[in-house]
Formats: sequence, C-alpha cells, structure tokens
Amino acid sequence: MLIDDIEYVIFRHPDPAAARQFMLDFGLLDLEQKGNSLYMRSYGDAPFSYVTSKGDAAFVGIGFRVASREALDLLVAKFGSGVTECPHPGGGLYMVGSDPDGRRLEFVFGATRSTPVPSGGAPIMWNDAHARNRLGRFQRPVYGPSHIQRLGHVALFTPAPQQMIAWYCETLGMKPSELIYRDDEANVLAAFVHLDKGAAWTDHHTVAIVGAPAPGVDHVSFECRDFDDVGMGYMVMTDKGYTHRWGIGRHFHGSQVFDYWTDSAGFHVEHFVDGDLVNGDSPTLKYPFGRETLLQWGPAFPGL
Amino acid sequence: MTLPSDYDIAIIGAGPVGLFMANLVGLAGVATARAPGSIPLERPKQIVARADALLYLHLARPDLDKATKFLTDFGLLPAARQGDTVHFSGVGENPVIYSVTRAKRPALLSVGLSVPERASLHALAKESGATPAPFTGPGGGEMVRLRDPDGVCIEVLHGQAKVAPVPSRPAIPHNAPAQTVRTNDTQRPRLAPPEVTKLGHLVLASPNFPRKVQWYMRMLGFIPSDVMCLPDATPAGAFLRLDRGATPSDHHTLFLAIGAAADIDHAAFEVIDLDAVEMGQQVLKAAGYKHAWGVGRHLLGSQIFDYWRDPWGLKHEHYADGDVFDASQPPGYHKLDREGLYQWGPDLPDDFVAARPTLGQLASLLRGAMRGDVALRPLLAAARSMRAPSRPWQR
Repeated sequence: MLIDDIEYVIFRHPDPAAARQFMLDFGLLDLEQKGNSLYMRSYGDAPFSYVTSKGDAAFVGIGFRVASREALDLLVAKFGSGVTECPHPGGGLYMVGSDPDGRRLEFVFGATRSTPVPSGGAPIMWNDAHARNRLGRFQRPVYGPSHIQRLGHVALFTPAPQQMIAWYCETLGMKPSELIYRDDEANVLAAFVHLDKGAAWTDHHTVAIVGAPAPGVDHVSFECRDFDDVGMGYMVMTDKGYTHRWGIGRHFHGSQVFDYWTDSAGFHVEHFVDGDLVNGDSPTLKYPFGRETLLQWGPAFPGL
Repeated sequence: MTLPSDYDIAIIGAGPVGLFMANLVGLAGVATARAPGSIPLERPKQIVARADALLYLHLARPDLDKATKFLTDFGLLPAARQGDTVHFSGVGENPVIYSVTRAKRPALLSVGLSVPERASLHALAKESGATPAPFTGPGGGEMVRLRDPDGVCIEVLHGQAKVAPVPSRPAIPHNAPAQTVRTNDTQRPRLAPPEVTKLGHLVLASPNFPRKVQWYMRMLGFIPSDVMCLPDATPAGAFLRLDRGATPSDHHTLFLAIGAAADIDHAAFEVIDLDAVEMGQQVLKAAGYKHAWGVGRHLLGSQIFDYWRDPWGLKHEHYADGDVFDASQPPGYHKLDREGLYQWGPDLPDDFVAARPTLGQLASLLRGAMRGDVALRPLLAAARSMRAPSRPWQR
C-alpha cells in the first residue's frame, strides 16, 4: 500500500481573496497565510485541504498522504527525486514529482493530523417507507455553508487517457473501478481509479481520468457531512449569487449525490456525499460511453 | 443621513399591560404584529372519534385513460374497476388509495379515513345524523358518510379488508463520513415510476379555516402538529396528525389552510426514500408532465418533496423522510409565509401558492362574507403574507 488518501489540491488564482471567500462560502475553513500561500482546511483531520497563491489561474497539482516511510522511499525510487521537509501546515516529510502531463504531485508522510472541527449533527436518521428511525425529532439542518469533511477526488483531463490510466495504476498502485469506452472495449476514454488499500474500503474513485484535447482539470470534489449538508450548501451558494454548474443529482459511476459550483477563476468544485466504496477484491467494470451514465437523477448535464 | 422609516416594536407579553400598549400603538396608526403562538389554536373539549388512518382520495375526472396514464406514471397501480370508477392501490396494505370516476368536470368527490373501533362509526353517525352503510369499494367494510363544514364528503370506514403488500425495494443505505454502511455495492435505483407505499396527506383550503379545523379536531380527533399564523397571530393554517396514542403518526395527515375556495390543494404520496423521489422526477420529466416544485426539503414535517401536476392541474406530491410524532408532542407555532414551506430546494414558484380565484369562487366568497360565514380580512392578510419572497436572493 503506497497511498493512504488524497489530501489536498494546489491552485493559483489571480484573485486569491475572491477564491478564499468562495471556498469559505462553499464550506472550507480558514487555516493560514504562509508567504504567498493561502491554506484552507476542512472539518476533518487533514492538516489542510486546499492551497492557492496569486498568479495566473491554474490547477497546479495534487497532494497525497503516503502510507508509510517505506512507501515514501518506494515512491522516491520511482520518481528519482529526493525527500525534504514538507513546507506545508502539518509538516512531515515530502517528495515532489509529476505525472506525464506535468501535473505536480506531492507525497507527504508523517504530517501532524489536525483536530477535527465539530460539524454539527450525527448522520441523518432516515424515516424511510419501511422503517421509522427518527421519532419525535425534526430534520432541521442549520442554515449555513456546507461542512466539508475532506477532499474526495479530482477529475483530470488528458490528451492520452489510456497512457495516463496505465501510469497512475503502475506508478501509484491505483486500480480502475470502472472504465468507459467508445465502440470497442479497447478504446478506453475515461477511468475512475481507486487507491490500493488491500481489503480496506476506499472511495470508488480518488482520481478520474478523462480524455480531452488538452491537459487540465474538470473538477475537484469535497465530501460533505450528509445529504442535507449538500442541500443547505446549495441554498447558501445560491444566496451569495455564485455560478451554479450542475446539480443536485446522483452520479452513476460512484453513486455520489453531487452539486457543482464554479469559482471566480472558472474552476469547478463539487460537493458530494454517499459515494460507493470498493476494495482490492472489487472487479473492474466496463461501460460504453453515454450521457445516461453521467447521472442517475438530477438536472441534465449542462456540458463541460 | 437618512433614517430608516421602518421600526420594529416588540411588545413582549400579552398580559393587560402588553395588550394595552399594543392597542395604543395600533390606535396611533402603527401596524401591529404579534408573535405566532400568542393566540393558541383552541382545542375541542369533547372528541367524537379518533381516526387512525387516511385511506383514499376519490376524484372526478373527465378522461379516465388520461388519469390512469398519469397516475401509473406517478407510481400508482390500477387495482380494480367498477363501472365508471377506476381504483388504484400502492404497494402497501390498503386495497385502494386513489379512485377516479368519470364525470364532465374535475372535482373532489370524497376522502376516506378509517376508525379502529366500530363504536366510533356509531358515535359519528349519531353526531352527524348519517346512517352507517356498507362500503362498496375494494375491501368492503362499513362506512359513515360525513360532510365537513365546506361540504367535502368524508367517508369514515371500519372493517375494510387489507391486502398483502406488494414487495418493494429496501431503502438505500447512505454512506457518510462517519458511517460506512454500503461497501462493494452501488446505489442504482431502477429508472421506473416509484413504488408508492401510501396516500400520506391531503391539503385542503377553506375560506373559513377556524370552522374547518375545529370540525376535524372534534369529529376525527386530529391533533395540531404545527400551526401557521397571520402577522396578528391569528391561526390561518394547521398541520394535523392522527391521534394514535403512543404509536407514532406522520407529522401531518391533513394540512388545512385559509384559501379563497374550499378545494383540495394537493395530495401527497409516500415513496421509499430520497432516490425514489428523484427517480420519480426523472420518469415524470421524460413523460412530459408539468412540474410544480422540487426536489427540496420542507420545514414543517421535514419531508423531501417533489410536486407534479396531473392533466387537470392538481398537484401530486412524492415525498420521503417525513417526521413522525406520537400524541404527546405539543403544537409548534410559526408565521404563515413562504419561508415556512421549505429548508432547501429550488425557489418556490409563484403559481404554486398564488392560484387566482375564478369568478364563481369570488362570487361564493362574497356570498359567504355577506352571510357572515367568511371573514375577508384574514384571507387578504394570508394572501399578502404568501406574496413576500422567502429567500434573501429573491428580495
């Protein structure tokens, strides 16, 4: 096992103050400004989940939490780069590499975990038609931004999806949960890949790799507290007049309930809950490309 | 520097001093508002019977085929046909939850409820002067036919035979950050009309709300769960639940509200869970029906809701995850406004609440006002309250 989890995303924004306000309303919390870098955290135990700095708008890369010192050494051997002190909040050791598109990948080991911030409320007790679980109590979430628990996944664009899928699997030990092909099963256009954590459960996808004319990012995705946390997030973001991209709906691949918003620099960020979990025994499924596999329910996909 | 022209004056307490001050302020030409709940909804001292379930809704429709197509797309199952009447069931134990009879004009024909004891039928018969008669619809049993104060036909049944429920899919377990319940399994409900488990509640409007709500509480034992009030604290709408003692009941089986015409506003049907509500929307959208509002979460009752109009414009609601209370929960009081209708979801469309009364309805309102049956001021106050936008971004 090389990687424990995805931990943070690295952006650049022409107006970091606007990006900060957007992400506060979206459901992250202020952490610190260190030199040029503006760090924001989630409610969970990651040292931070989001960092941006002033510059031309760019999605710079991804930070992963490495499972062990041995795993870090294995990655060092693969990338041929050295281990240094991690300059980010939480410290620890880290190593910097890049994927074949030149995306910056950071691998951190031994960072100090943060104390989770209470995010209000236990999981929803559902009164479904078969079972009443919430008796004499109301379902009334507090009006306010979502409570983001963690970074969940990133969806990357790449001109050579098959090579990129192979690279993430071979280099970082990931495995496709589902492959999307056009016409012929060999003609893979996209993949949802999960971390190799043996028998332990992990998100249906930590990285989505999607064929596109140029390298880029479609979205970064953050896990919310529960379903109503997504609903309330929608209300707050609407209230503040932000640009809504798509939602609320339920995806097909990964089953997440989703809602997408667009920040001041045009980057899409996703609120999600209730994603599927897989492990090392889960088979890789193959699906033909089609609009109907983008979502199970919700508004129609507005396009990229 | 400009001074704000609107001040809020809060007078706390409705004792002699508070009321005297409110009166003075009112006489000085200031519009007074009182906190919801300062005028409680009076409860009847004697109750004739306690209903224990809402059974069915019976409507007249000009086109049975069209009605059947909509209702089956909505998720109901055709169960039986008797002459010009088609009966529909859900997947639950009731043999009929919706009946449609062919007639020239669409109309509300009756509402079916049940009482657990035969003695209650006789108490209701005695109180109303009606005679118990056999129920000739699916399941049979005995029935008393009542008229509520607006003339709506209420059929109270006892001894109707139940049917074996149709097997339905289990509710979907939700993964959450601290709750891993679904592993190596996906969340893929069928793209099909949702399984309807029951007729959940009805919303009835009345030009004379006080008379209507008293009747339902007294005759059928309904308990107020939440009361919606005008700015002067006059109750103008009530979410009523069934009194089933310690057995939890839905937050509301009836919502009665002030309105220009004595009519049904919508009928709500329970489906398995959130995903059933959402899949229902996909199906009805694809079939080209008129969407009314949703998906969102209500405030009073907490249901996740989605509303669709049948071919005659009547709103039909799919809902899931409503609150349930036993008989001990005291009523809550709230302002009557749009904000009280939902916690999250799309903006409330204007045509959801602001249907224009027809000329005939206006004429009947005026006749009612002249007879002294209908008070026009609360009606106008309610209409004003429901016009104000609910959310900051709409203002």
